[in-house]
Amino acid sequence: MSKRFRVSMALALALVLLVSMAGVTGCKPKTTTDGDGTGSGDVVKGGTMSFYIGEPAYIDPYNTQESEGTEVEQSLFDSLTRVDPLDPSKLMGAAAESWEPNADATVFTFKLKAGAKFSDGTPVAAKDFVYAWNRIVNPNTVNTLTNKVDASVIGYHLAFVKGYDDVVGGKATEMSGLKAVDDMTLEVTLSQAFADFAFVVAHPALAPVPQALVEGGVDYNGAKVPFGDFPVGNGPFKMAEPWKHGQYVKVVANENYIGEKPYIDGVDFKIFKDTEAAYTEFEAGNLDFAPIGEGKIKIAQDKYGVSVDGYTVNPKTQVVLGAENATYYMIFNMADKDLSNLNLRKAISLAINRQAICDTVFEGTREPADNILPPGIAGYEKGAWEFAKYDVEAAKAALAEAGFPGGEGLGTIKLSFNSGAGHEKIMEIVQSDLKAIGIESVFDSADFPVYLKSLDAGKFQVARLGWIADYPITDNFLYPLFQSKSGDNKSKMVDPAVDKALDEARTVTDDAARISAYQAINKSIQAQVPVSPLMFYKHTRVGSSRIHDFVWDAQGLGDFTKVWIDAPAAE
Amino acid sequence: MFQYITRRVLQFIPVFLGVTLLLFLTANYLPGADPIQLKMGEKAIDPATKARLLKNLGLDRPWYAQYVDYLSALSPVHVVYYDGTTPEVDPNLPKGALKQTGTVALVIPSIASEVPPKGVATISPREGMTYTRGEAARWAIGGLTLEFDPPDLGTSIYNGRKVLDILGETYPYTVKLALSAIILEIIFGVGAGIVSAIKKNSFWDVLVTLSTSILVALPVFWLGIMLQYTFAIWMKEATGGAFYLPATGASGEFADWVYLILPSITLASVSTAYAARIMRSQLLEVTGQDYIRTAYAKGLSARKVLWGHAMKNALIPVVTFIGLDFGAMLSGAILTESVFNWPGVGYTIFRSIVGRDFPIVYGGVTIILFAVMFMNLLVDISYAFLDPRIRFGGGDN
Amino acid sequence: MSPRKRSNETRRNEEHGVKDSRAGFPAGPPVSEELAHIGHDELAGRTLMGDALRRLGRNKLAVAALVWILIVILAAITADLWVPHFFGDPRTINSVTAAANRLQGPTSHHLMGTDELGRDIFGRVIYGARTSLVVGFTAVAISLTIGLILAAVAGFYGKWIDTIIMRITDIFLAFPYILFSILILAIVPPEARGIGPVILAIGLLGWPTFARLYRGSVLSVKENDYVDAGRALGASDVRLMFRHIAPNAIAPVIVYATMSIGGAILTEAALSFLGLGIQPPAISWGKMIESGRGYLIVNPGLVFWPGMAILSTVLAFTLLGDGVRDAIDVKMKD
Repeated sequence: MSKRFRVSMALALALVLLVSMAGVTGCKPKTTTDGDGTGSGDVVKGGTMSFYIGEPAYIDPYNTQESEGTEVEQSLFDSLTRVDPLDPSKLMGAAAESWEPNADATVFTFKLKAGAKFSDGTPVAAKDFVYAWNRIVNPNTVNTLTNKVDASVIGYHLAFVKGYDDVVGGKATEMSGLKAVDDMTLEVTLSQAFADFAFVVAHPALAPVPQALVEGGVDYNGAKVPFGDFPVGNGPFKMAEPWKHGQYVKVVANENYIGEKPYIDGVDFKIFKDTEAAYTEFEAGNLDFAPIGEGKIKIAQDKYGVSVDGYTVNPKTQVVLGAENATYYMIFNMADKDLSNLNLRKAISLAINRQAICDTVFEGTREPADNILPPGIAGYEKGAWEFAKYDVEAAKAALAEAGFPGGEGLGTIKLSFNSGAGHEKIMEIVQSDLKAIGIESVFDSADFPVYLKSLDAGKFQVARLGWIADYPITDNFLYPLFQSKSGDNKSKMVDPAVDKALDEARTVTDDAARISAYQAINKSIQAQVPVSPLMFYKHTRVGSSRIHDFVWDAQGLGDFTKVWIDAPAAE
Repeated sequence: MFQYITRRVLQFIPVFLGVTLLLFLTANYLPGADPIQLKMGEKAIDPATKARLLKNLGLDRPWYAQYVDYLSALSPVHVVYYDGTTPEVDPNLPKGALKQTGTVALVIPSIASEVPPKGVATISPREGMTYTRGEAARWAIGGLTLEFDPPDLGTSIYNGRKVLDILGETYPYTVKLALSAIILEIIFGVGAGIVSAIKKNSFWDVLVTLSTSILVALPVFWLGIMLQYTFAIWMKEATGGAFYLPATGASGEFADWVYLILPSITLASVSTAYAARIMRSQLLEVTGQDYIRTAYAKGLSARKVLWGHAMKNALIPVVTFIGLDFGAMLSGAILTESVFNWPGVGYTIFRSIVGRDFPIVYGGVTIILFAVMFMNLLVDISYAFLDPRIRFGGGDN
Repeated sequence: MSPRKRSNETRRNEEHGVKDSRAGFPAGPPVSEELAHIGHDELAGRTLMGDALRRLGRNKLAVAALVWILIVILAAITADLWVPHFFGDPRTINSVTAAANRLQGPTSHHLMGTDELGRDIFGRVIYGARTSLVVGFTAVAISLTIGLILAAVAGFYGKWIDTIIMRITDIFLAFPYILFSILILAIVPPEARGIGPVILAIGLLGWPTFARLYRGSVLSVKENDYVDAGRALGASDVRLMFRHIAPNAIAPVIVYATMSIGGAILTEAALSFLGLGIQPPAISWGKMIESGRGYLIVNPGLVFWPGMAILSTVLAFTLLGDGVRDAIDVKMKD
């Protein structure tokens, strides 16, 4: 179950990458020039787009984190800022018109857009952000669906805000760092410098909510509906009817929206149990956007044509295969007696044929990783992780240097992963590759919650994980994954120099200087091989031939304001 | 008859308690899992938040306390003794919560092991959990109160929804599938059994025997996939893609029942074969018995003997089988449901076991047990109409 | 089948037998009441055994089934000697050639084609037979042992011991079978996952049917004159149970056990299909079907062949069981 977070990717880079990668993997993107592949033409207004999702966990911003709920929620709400779907290094205003950090990047002041309203007509004010953000952090927040205390798990987004610890610890109910200076001004004081904070507040979960409706319920057809089933937001769309669990969420254009109004009338988010069924439904013509099932990528590419930039859907260039800002990697338990051996870690990392995994299991729809940072992140450097490549001879040499020539003297290595999520095939290749250099390994697979627990407890040797960025910045990879106190640092890498450098980089307000600082940190991390990046995730979805200019960005969020749909053929 | 039904219902109680106790006990021995973590997947959750969520769900307590919680929430009636004044509804508390100034001295079935201590203003035995008591009705004599509430099965760990709501969405799919499968089973199973018994050793008999042997040996999930292959892929043009479409939400261009065809064939396959075999052997046995010979000797026509005398007796075991089988189908068919992405109760429970969403597992098994018990009862009652020799009420052991 | 007086016991057996079918999840064939009575009228003896074997030999279908089972067993045992030599080792992946070799149709080198990771399907089907056979035989052995011991005790001593054992059986039968096996498999700690827990899960849940069947059988044997005679001669309980009752009551159990092997193979395949049974890299037919499902359009052989392997093997055990039943019970033949 991968959680697709808000991630982003440089368009130009993606394009170059896609083409070069296609050459390597042999899957030629089919870019048809006939028809209107570039997507211009006369925009038609109206129509409803049908969009595949799995059953969301929550569509209320207070617990928005998995891809399904986020997709719906971001159509209903605008956060302060927004990452440009086609150029992730650029931030745009959404609910905020402008923002300004102070000199040492510890206080951020956001000016809201004038005249903004929630879809019920009440104006959006700074206090709505204060309320919404405290709601996420407060441990006694009530789930509106059950009327029971159900604390949000995504409060960590605001961990830099002053007073966060007091609210989490129950000592206060409001973060002292949040201040509604007036209706239109929000001032956020951080407990430590964080130059990229404006990227953090682009996260869809940090949207404003109307307190009265959260606590009192929403009127629908004369009855009160819980906010969790009928969120009312400040986004381009609003709920058409309460969430029909297991079936659909229907949204329609919000007439009170002050931003660019969508061309389409609405979106039907249709809920499916699995992707195979959704793809079949797509083929039957009942869905406008769906995931492509396992083993059908090649057929789909030939049939529907590949999107030119990897993200934009237009007739005949309908398959989106753009890179996501997410990395699939193996983690080494550096506290383990075998894996504490640096050369053994190098040997394992060098032994894995990443290209074979991408070509067989994923039919070329993923890309071998050569860095923990995906290419869409500004700090990415090609080949920066020198041991993230397939080199059998070097692997054998490293193994010998580790003291286990040909695997002699080394016990069996445990490969841990969660079962039933398609990782078996990857691990079978890894196992065969390790065997080829003399390392014997056994599988240690468990149901997801059990697996996560054993990762937490450090009960593993070599395991798999996927990291999907919350915000398209280098910090969001390096800090959580390798800072010694971070909960996501499952390799248990401890390097005070890295910790210090990470904290320092956050204070650098100059973009170019900050990026090169991060690149230096990345180099010193990779030399210790705490993890072995395997693959970069890529999109595998397809749009119908009647939709135009639909962008599904690197974060996996659809831009429903630009898309337009062919008028139905007259019969 | 009424006495008999009462006895059967009472007999269900120990079985129900046994099964659910075993379930809670088993769950307790599952290896360390972190169901809360599923809310965030592979990203870390603040340990303090995690602990608080566990506590709010009551999952931090020992399994037997959780079991008592479960039974208490399930029970529609509670006997409560208030040592003090009777409680009153407090408008400042969430809907239905009661305020009382005395002490709850006794609750049957217990609201778990934690009875609120003396002087507590709100009935909320655990932080963040409000017990809503006597919502439906209440009845008080002094401090002794009889409180009625709708049964509750708790909330899902993963998305905090009510388990009853989740099961309410999935169970109709299970019933729909079970009904259509049982109809197939009755028509084809009983039909084939009768034909092959009447025409014993004929071509038809051999055909039925052979095909039932094969059906019994078929892995149902494989049959389902091969049916999909045949009708949804291989014969796609001919069927217009009408098969292997999802059963939920999304509206296709076909009527609902079209989606039921392949799953119900798959689900019915094995039981149809058994029904046919039992029907055949019963009919052959009955027609060999004395009273049938007597009937023939009396000069009754073969037709009359068969339908008038033989069939009624031969049907008893068949009805038993089909009835119990229907009960089993109402427990959800995990394999068929997962092949066809059928959002039934079996698949839901299966996914919840894998995800360690225990409240859904407990709730699902509860519903299943009641469904099976109900079907067993119906089967027993149907004996009375089919077999006058069976007397109700008594019992020899 | 001969007309028989239907005792209360018979009715109970028949009722509980069918209860076991559990729709959608074949645990084993339903026990019809005829089974509980096979062979009771005869004394167990070497000559009778010989007669039964001779009758079995005349049943062409049963002989064919036996031959097929023997072929499968032989192929599974000798797989290491010839499969890697002719078809490449289907247990490992050559990551360098995998992309070029994947999803091929049938050729002379790959009789059933190759899978999505470039491995030979035929070879994997042969290795899959190892798993299925081991699970089939050992799981039934476990069910049989538990079932027989409990039933012998319950049936012989009767009274409250019988009541308790039978109530426990009720509870086990009331619990949805597949859910229970899923739960049992979920208890297994990750490091212990493998074929062992699968065998245990299937074996531990199969005993109630054996217990019921054998108990019914013991009860009806106990009423025979020779048991009374034995008791009159002062034979001990244990001696009576093991020398006189057990051998005579065992016939229906043998028949059911033969059929159950097929049932256990089906259960293993189903659990592995759901991802809970055999874990890769161990090869299982059910798991092969599951992982090949996505490639149905490209190469249906990935799903078709393992399914055929399950079908043919399970069918063979069922037909053999039918044959054994007919061979033991003379009266059923007329």
